[in-house]
Amino acid sequence: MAEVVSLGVIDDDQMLLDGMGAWLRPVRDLRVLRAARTVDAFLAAGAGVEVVLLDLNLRDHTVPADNVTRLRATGSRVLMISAIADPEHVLATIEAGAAGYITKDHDLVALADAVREVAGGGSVLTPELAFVLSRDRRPTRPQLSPQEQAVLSAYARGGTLHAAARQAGVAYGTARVYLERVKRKYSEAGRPTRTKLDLANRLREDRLELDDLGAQG
Amino acid sequence: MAGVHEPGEIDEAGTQRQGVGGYRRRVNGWRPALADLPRHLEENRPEPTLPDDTMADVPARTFRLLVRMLAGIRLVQLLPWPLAFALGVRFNAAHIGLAIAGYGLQAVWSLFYAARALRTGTLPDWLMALDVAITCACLVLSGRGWATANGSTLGNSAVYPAIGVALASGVVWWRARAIAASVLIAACYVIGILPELRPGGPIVATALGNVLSILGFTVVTGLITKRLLGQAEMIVVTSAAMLSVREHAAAQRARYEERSTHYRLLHDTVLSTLNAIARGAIPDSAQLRQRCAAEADLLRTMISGDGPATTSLTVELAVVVYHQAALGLRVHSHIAEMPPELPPEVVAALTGSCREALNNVAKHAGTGEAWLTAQAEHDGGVVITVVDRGRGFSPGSLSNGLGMSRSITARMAEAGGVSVVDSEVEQGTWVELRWPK
Repeated sequence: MAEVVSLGVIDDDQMLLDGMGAWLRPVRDLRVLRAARTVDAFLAAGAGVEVVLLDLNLRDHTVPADNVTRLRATGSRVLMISAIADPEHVLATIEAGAAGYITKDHDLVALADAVREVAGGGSVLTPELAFVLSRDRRPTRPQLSPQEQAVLSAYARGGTLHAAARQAGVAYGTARVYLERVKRKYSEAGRPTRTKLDLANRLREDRLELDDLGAQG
Repeated sequence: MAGVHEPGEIDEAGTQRQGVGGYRRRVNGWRPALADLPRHLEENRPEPTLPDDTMADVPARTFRLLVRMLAGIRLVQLLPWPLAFALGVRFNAAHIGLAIAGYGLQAVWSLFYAARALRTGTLPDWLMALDVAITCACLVLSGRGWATANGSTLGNSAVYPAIGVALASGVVWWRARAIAASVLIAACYVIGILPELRPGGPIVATALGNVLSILGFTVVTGLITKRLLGQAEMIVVTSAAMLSVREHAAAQRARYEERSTHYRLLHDTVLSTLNAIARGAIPDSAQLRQRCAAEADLLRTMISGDGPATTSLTVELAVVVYHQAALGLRVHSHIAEMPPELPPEVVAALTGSCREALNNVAKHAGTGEAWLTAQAEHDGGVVITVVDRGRGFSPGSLSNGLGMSRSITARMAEAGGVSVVDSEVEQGTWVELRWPK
């Protein structure tokens, strides 16, 4: 039996907050510890939880990316949820350190899987997030190679990673590496590389990935 | 009593007319309330009758008409002499050779001139210049040939055609060149009849009349032509303005109709459901939740996309997604920046192909989920993919895909698009629709 993940929910819809606990009850390894309608109220109520489900556009007009930053500062990981993808803010929250984005139309299994992935330190690249990233036209966007862009666009269409790799004309393992690299580029876009040591680490990682690529190819 | 409905019948009819009542009727076997909606969306709007673009041609057509009129006048102007001879009018010339040469040259040239003008509707400068030159020559020849006007019932045969040339120069050459040409023609006329021109002689009045006609007709036709062509230009400007007004009105009406369609769609689905829930008319049930999920998908698709406006394609796709819910298929749709103006047949082909592809997912893929992605291309085209993660099929054995492929391929090809179907066992099926090719 896996450890229980402590969960927080921030959503301006009281009905959704009330329902979330009951909805997640059948999932044994997830427990909603706290729910609030604003980030202020959530933070005022106590210590950090492992994962916060954060509604993208809260009705108190707080800036989504700031909300992510504040929650991250308490040590929580953040998974963005919303009814509709608002590309500008989805991109901003991902760059502010949110570990993923998922629309509210997903079923319990998909949501629970995403939360577990985030709790384990990973990030969730749902097709809807891939779609937003693939259509990122901001001049300041992280630079993606043409192959990374191709795999990302294919994955955004919703197929399996296997099918996306086939569509982009690369091996499965290569596609996986590319998607990981896209995720990392976005999560790093919000925090500039500061020291030579960081830079050396990035270089080393890139080399490892290249080796990995060679092995796949 | 005869003719009176039973109360139950009236109730039944009443509930059938209302959305919520309709829902209550169907609650045991839920299906989308708007099974016939796509037909409404696809119905042809009557196109307003617009003036055709040949209006832009009015000045040119007016000018061609004037040229042909001039050609007709010229032919008529040749007629008096042959007719007079045929009728036995007395023939009385000073120099018969000159007279015949003057008429003959004028007749041969004028026939060529008129035939060319009638055929082409144009009077190029070289033709005009030649016309003026030949007419001047004929005026001199005929003037000398017919010189003894006393007692003659036939006058100078070159005068009528000369007036025709003056008219033509007024139409084609107005203003300076036309006046110069008519002064030259009048001068040549006077030169021709100079031997007969004695002060107080009977020919002076005739000569004065002819000179004034040559000069005056040039000015009058010049002014009238200018006015006529000005009005023709006005017609062009006015009809272009009218066309743009009508196009604007048509666009407005199309937008209005589209919005009405959206409202009706929302009224018959989301609003009916919310009303029913608010009244406590429906108990919480799996069917209600299924309906709510389907209508949430409908709304999500309708308002998805980062484009400026909800396009008809977006709404049509939303309806397709909505109907799939009844087949137990959840469709995750991502729609971005649809081009605002797509031909209706293209929207119909894309929508129909999507429906077909999703039907195939529901029937063959063995999965309850599919993804519909629609994006605009840089060239104003559209790419839509329908993708599932189901059991797929081997691309070599297109047993599953062939039927789907045929139906979709034909539809897309007919609308000028193309479709690609790809699949792999256990890796789902990938249908890409692209317009234009």
